[in-house]
Amino acid sequence: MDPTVQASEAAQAASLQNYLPIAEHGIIGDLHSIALVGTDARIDWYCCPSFDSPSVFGGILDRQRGGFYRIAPAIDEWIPKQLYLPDTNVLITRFLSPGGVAEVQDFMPIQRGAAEHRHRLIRRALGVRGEMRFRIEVQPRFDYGRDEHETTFHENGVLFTSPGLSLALETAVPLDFRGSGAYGEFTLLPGDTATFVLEQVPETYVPRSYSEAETREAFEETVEYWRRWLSQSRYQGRWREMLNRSALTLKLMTYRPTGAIVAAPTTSLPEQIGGARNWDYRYTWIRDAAFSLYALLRMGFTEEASAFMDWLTERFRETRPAEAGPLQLMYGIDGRSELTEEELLHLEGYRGSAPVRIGNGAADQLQLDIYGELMDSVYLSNKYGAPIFHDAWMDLTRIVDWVCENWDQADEGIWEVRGGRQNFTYSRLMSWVAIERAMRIAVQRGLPGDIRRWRSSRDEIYAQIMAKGWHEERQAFVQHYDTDVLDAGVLLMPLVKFIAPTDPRWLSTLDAITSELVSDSLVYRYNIEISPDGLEGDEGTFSICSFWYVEALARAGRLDEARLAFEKMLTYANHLGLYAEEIGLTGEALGNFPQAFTHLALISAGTYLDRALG
Amino acid sequence: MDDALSVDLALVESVSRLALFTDLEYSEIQSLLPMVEEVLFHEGQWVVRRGQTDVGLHIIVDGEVSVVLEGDELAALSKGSFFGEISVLLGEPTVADIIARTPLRCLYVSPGDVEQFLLANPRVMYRMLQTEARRLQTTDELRI
Repeated sequence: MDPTVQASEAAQAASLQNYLPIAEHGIIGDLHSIALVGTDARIDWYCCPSFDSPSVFGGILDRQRGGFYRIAPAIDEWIPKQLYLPDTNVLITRFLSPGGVAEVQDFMPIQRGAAEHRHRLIRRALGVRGEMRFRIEVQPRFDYGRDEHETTFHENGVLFTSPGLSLALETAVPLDFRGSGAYGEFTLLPGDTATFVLEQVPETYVPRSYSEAETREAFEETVEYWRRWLSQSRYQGRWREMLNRSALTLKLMTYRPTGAIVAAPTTSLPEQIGGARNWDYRYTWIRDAAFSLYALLRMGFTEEASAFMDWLTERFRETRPAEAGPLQLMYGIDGRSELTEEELLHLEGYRGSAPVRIGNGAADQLQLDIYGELMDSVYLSNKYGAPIFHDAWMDLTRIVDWVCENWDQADEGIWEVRGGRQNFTYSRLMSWVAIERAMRIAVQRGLPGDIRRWRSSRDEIYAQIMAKGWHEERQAFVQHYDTDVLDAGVLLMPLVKFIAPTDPRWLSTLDAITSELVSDSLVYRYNIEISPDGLEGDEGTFSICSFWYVEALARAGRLDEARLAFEKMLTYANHLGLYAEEIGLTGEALGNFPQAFTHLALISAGTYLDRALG
Repeated sequence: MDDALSVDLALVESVSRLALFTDLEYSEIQSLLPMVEEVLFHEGQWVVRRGQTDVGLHIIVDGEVSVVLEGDELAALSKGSFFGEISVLLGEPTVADIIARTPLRCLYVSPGDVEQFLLANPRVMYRMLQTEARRLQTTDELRI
């Protein structure tokens, strides 16, 4: 091989190794957007002002071109430690070195009352022991690195102005320019602080100075906000720390202006390193949001349920073509239905995992299961939160009627496979849930509805699943009607009370899943080698399925196994208790991060298992 | 390339990123530079002595200064900031010492030229006024 080619390939390989592992990040947020903060105190993901706005710091998707914001020791050797200030989403990254100890506190204040929200990301460096020299470097790359920007130096900081967004970095630390960004160095002794406020501002803005008192007040208010919020939690069982962290993380994924919940706050973190399964999760999936609601309700957080129901009620009102179903499977956080998928070819992707995608082409898929998840969350919200109102109920009855008409058709299924429509068992199961929960609400609340028709459809679905979703030879419920492939989605069968958790049909399914899809308590969605899904590449085990597995074991009375599987799953969390979508062969976090689906399933399994253990 | 010309281009590039000059085109900055002088100070050097009357306007291009009153550092100023203008505008002696914390490079407008400089460059004057307004606001907040 040509040595220059070899050398450039080696350089490329080295640069691809240069990415921090996905799990080596913490998350901060202000209920509008989030930032990922690496253990190297580098922010390499931040979209401003909202979750689905273009990134300003996108270094996690392209180390060179994505942009970053780093505050870290200027010395060579230091050890990082990261933790949350207890019961909050205030993140602390500590730096330990022979010469001293210092830390950076990262937080995003949450506006109180009716005042307009200011999109601020505050970083505060503190000297703890000895002396520590720091470097700060801010390299914004607006619009995923597609927009140029101007950098202007002011008395109290720097202004970055791009065509679509302007950000001020306000600080008393002197900064200089480096490329199109800003750079500075400063030294902290014990008790010294240096504050950096990054804020969305008008382009004519003049940066101002922040006093230490003002920063401290913002810090204390943010701490108080999170502690007050968490104090509503009713969970007092084992694993309190882990469940509380999951709840705090789910809350970070809610979009306060509308009540929507994103599936994950990132895009295109790969399901396989170097692979093509890279998706934009910064949208609201009806399914994920409904499950999130369920988890938050289980812990006693009713306000989020009510806000999400308001958002959902708006979606019922929108008219859609009859064949597409009354709801789209996902929406923008502002409720928009257009989520055009686009590939960002100028970004190399996390460790070379291209393409980077924004938008989501799966939005148009037909996934019949969403009505089940929707009705289950309405049922729970009606039971534990606010009772459903008349207009919303009338809209829902129309949806249930639609399900009765349309459940018996092939769809793309829960995993959004792109290999063609099938008669998925999971979709049928959730259609059954949709009708069954509607009947419960109607009966319990005495609300109107065509119960006779609903019952007839519900029982028809039940009979069909038992006949066609059940594979006699395998003695298991299978992925769809024309296969013998297993699918972890059916783990929900006893959880949604479709089947008794100790029914022989269920126990043999559980055994089959255990022997085929479970690897040391980690669960694959399905076996992609024998069930081609229209996508190239392998994938890791799906964390939500692993938690469903725990819950299914517990409900089957196999408590020791369930507990061990749960405890093992806890060991796959990162140092802060956060999970991505998947877990790879060596325990590495894969896919978008952190993922609501995983955290909500952890809450669900953790609450059930704790109760079952007594 | 002519050395002097390349130095000037680097200076224009640096100056264009300062808030005071952000509204100006490169050509406007180039034509403004003959009205100012580039001055350099060593680290630790006095730039302004308290009570001095013939100070002139200093605009920091590179480096940092400390504003010092009776031995206490009141503030640090760096790239994008300026000082000496109050003394010129009011015709009064300066009220604090200014000491270079690092090697310092400033654009300098002598006291007699400040009025002409500002009138000839109203966008610079407007930006200066914005900064003065921000200083005033911050001072007021501190008084509360």
